[in-house]
Amino acid sequence: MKHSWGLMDLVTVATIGIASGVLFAGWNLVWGAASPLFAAVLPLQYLLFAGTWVIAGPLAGLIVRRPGAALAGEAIAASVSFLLASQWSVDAIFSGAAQGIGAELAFAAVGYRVAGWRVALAAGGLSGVGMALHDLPLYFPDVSASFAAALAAAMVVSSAIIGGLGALLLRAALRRSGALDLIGA
Amino acid sequence: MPSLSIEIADLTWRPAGSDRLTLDLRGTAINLPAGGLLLVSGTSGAGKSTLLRAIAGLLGTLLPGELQGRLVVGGVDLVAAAATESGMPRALSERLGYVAAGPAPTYALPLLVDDAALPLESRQIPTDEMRSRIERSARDAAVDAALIDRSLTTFSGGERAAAAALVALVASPDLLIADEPLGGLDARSAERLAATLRESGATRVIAAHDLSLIHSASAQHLRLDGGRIVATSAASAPAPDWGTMHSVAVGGVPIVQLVRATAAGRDVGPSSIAVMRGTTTLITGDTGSGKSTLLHLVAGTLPLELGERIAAPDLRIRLAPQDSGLLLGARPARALVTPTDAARAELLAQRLDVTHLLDVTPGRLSDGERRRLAMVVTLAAAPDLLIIDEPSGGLDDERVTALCELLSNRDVLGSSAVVIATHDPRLATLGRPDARPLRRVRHPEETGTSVEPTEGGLAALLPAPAARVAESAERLLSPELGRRLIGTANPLTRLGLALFWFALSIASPATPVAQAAIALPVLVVAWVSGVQILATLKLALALTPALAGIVLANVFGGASVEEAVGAGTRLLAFAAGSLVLLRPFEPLRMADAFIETLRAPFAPTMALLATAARIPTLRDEARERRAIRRLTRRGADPFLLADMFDSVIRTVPQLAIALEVRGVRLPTRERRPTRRRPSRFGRADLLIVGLSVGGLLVSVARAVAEAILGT
Repeated sequence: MKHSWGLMDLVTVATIGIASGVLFAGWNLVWGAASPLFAAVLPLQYLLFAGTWVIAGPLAGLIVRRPGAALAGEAIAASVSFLLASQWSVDAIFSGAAQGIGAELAFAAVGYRVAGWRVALAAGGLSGVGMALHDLPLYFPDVSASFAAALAAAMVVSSAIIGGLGALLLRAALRRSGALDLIGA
Repeated sequence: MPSLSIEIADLTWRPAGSDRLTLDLRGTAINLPAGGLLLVSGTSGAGKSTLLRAIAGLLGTLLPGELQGRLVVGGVDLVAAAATESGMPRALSERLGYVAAGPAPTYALPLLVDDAALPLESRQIPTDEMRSRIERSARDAAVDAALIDRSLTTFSGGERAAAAALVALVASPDLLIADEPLGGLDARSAERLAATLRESGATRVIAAHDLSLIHSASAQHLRLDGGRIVATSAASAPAPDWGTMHSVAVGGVPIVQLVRATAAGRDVGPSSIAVMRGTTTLITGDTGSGKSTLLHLVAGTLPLELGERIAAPDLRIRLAPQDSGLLLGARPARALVTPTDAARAELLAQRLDVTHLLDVTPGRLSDGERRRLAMVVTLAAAPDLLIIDEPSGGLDDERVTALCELLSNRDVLGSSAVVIATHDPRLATLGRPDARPLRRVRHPEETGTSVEPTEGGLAALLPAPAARVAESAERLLSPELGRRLIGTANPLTRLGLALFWFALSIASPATPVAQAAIALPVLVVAWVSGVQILATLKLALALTPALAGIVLANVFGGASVEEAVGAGTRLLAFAAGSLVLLRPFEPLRMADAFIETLRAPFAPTMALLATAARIPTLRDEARERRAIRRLTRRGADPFLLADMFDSVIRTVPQLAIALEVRGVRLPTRERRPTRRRPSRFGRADLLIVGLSVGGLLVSVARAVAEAILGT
């Protein structure tokens, strides 16, 4: 069995990260445009939109089952979105890392052997936890506890469903088309 | 170093996820002595590329699947390596030059000079030797010296092929493996590159449909079919000449007409052409003369920069691009055919011998197979205008004949106008006497003039004294002056400062005050790096609603107005600074800096950066895919996102191969990395760091002064 990271794994993670990063950069604009509309019901905005930002971690982890893939995928995606266009600037890298560590923990917990819907859901959900731990103290330090809790819940649920299950669906589509055979995933 | 020998016996290959062998050489043995030449021919999908990849040590190592039998190249047992290694064995990688088959991009880095330097950097060859070696290989590979410093994304199919050969030759390989190296080249360039390949002292394995140019007396031949060897000698028919083609004058009302049209960002002169109903137009011309651009302009899939495009209303247009993947996407060809056209598609598929491929997802198919499917999909729609870019690429003589019959057939084409761009003299049979009217156009001579440089700019419009003032103002404002004065800052400095400012805006008790430390250097850096004002304004527009959102949300969430504004200001503080600071986005300079200064591991850094460097291509492709798709269907396409991920994943093996054959896993940590563009820290870095520190000190001094005066 080959254990080391080959170029195929490296390029796959980089590609997933970068394609997602381009997606995120566009999503940042959507988010920005939607922000004033949702200001009064911010948890709803997080519930509907936030999960897209964590999709790179679960997707990279589901496709390349190696230690570090999920973290690298999400961190790369976040960095790319920062370099292209992001109102969160350098902080995108840190929030990407926080979300990536969450996803990575889910894959590490099963020893990188299993990659079914439960792991996908957990990876997405834990990414949401990472998002909450990073975002709340930085952007919402002074809000009430109940508001913070609503935000955190929205982040976790959205990340689990859009990020986790979305990544699973995307992987299924890629498997059907035969793209994954080409890279040996 | 001496060239190496190749031993092949009973070799088989089964790719992952497939249940059939795509290469089956059981019962045959091939021995190629050092310095020998092995020519591989065969129909499209016969297994030529597979055999070449096996010999390059890519199968089972980098590309997933099962390799069995015996394959020893230069003393390295590649079957054993396939079971244990996740990349090409090092001993082989050092000595290999590999030309991958087009038309999909096969480069690792977008600028030709960077791409060609990569094999040299991998082998840690001194920086000052790089340029001369690249220029020598350019001559050998028939690459125009002017192209060396240009971006491969602007190259035509033929120029890309020559560039791929340049990169394969640059490190003077002992083993040279070339897959269709002459594809898309015009006759003159093809002859020059063929001479280089014939005369090289390396052991050579070359696959081609037309072997007449590369043939030499001592060469060994293999003819493959269905992954098996069918003959060990190849009789290649002499290619017909363009001169044998005749053209027929045609009339009628044009359905699409271009008048001195140019496309933004394409270095191609204005072109004029008229396309008539019921005729076929064959566009020929040299490699890089802009044939594909012309086709896209006719199709309306590229926006016009200058000139005019007049088209009949409600035209049904179909375009089969040079890279069929852009048309086919991730779904079987049948999904792209509307039900009413299904019977027609069935018939066409029969004629082109792809009936069995209609329901297969195109990922596994060879370039030739995909191209024939693209023909079925586009022809089935019976469009008013059918545009085909290099229809015969990757097809053998027999298939080209079948295709020509189809494209000459009055019944199949009806009143469709057909525009074809090609290099291939085999398409000459399109012009036979019983066929439809054919017009032959040479691009650019007969469709337009060469590129006319625009002179003067603003200054040309003004009277003399005012012009002088305007000129010096332009020079002062141009980033060139800034570059000359202080050079351009190292990307590491800019990244470091962005991180520092981020920390500062979080830590600082008076965030707006900290901005003093940021504003000044930002302005200078923006000026020096020639910041795009429009792009920055766009970002500011995106930032404003986000800012409003976060302030409002904090207020609704229970924070005081003051606290909410504080949260908003903080966002603004680190956003504004680093947004401007990181433009322009220079992934390659950043990679150089990381590898050289921070000694970042070579392979992962190059993998990441080579992928990042494809972002513009990725966006262009997405745009092209959308434009081509829009010809077929209106409205939103839910498959686009899955198609996008599918197509980027499909580029992974190509890019991994490109990096592998350029030897990015070779460098050792013991020796210093060599870079074509050494990463240096200069006055620019000192200046912006100094400005930032100075600004910070001023802020601190002000805060201290305020504290003292306040009490």
